[in-house]
Amino acid sequence: MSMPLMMFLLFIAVTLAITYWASKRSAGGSAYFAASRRITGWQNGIAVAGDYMSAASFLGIAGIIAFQGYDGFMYSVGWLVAYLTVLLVVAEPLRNAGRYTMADVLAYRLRPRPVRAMASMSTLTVSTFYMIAQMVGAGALVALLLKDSGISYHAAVVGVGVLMIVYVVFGGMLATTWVQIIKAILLIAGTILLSFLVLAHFHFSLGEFFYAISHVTYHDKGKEVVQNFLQPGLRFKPPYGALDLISLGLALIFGTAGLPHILVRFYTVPDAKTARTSVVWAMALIGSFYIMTTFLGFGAATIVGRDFIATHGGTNMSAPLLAQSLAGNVFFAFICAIAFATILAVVA
Amino acid sequence: MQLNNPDVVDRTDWDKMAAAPKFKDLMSAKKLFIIPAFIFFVVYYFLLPILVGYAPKFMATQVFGVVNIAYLFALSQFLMAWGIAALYVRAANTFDKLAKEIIETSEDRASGAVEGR
Repeated sequence: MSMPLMMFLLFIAVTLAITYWASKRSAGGSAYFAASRRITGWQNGIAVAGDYMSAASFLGIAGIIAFQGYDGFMYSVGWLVAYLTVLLVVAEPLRNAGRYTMADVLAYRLRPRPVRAMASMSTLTVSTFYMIAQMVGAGALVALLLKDSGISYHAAVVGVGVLMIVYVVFGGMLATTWVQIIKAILLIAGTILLSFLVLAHFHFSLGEFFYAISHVTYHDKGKEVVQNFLQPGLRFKPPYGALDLISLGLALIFGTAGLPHILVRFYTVPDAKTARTSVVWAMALIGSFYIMTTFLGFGAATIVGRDFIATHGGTNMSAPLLAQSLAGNVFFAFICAIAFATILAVVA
Repeated sequence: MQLNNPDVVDRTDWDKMAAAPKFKDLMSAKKLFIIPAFIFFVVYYFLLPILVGYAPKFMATQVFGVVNIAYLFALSQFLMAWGIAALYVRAANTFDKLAKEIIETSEDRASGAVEGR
């Protein structure tokens, strides 16, 4: 059995054990939908961060920065700043309302039927698109990493879907909270380790690192190009690049506060003060993580290189390939397993 | 709607509390912090995509070695977000104190009313 497959299976075993434990404890609506409102501030904060740092962050951002430099980092910035909207406007009133869903909260003050219809439509739309992206990612990742294990793309997508349903149906919010916490800790640990190795590669000299970023070499249409990856404009080009950037900013700053899988976490804490504390925890983790995407993305650009990534799985494999070139196959398997855990946990 | 909300309290209790001057103070204290903080962070954040989009040459100006304004400004967004979060937590602690006082006085009044009967 290959190394990544073993780590995948280990993660699945641990999370199923948590689900079993949670299903024994949960009884009644509040226990199932809101983990009995007994999740503490730091626990919920880590879970929020875990929910938020999806495969798009870990694999996608590293890939975008590795291929398009600074412009990719624009995503990282918006993803943290968006939490100010959550902190200042959304988290506490949501918890104070003492309900289970966003629709319950809105229906409290407005006419319930149309509000509930709208809220469920919005929730289903957001979740469906979010889930499709995650499941496609899971399928692609499994198909790529477990080529020799005989698991096909379709089997991977179906398998991941079944697991998500099992977590949620049997474990409720208590199980998904703990799955998120484990996943977030793994993800942050993996990212710190990768960042450390990138810095070590550049002899712990930020000057050397940034110099390398400003002289990235790759091939474009057969010609060799040397590009400054710190310079804006590699992704967002005229004539509409500026508008794209502003549109991206609007989506991030105001969209994050409406993500159903984030909002639902604020019902799991005992009071508004804990909701606030959990946003602060989440912001500390999320911010640190996205600052470290500097090392993941630019590290992949300078150490692995666009040419190699493009022929070995494409942009989304930047972070795992970086791990492989820095510390060999075991670390590669570990990072892949984290990516897999990320995908598996994020929708749950 | 009332049927869906078993824990709805008597309307008049809400109205009494909403009209209390201390409650109004709390609401305006909250607004006084949250609205300016919200406007500040939205403006500060959107400066980044606007400048990167419309003034890429200026943003590419190198400050420390090869590190340019664009990257430093992006990094400053992280500090800005953490800074506002820290300030908000401090302000919110005073909101909590005010809210607690309001709850206590209204509870005193409520129990007093019951005893008086």
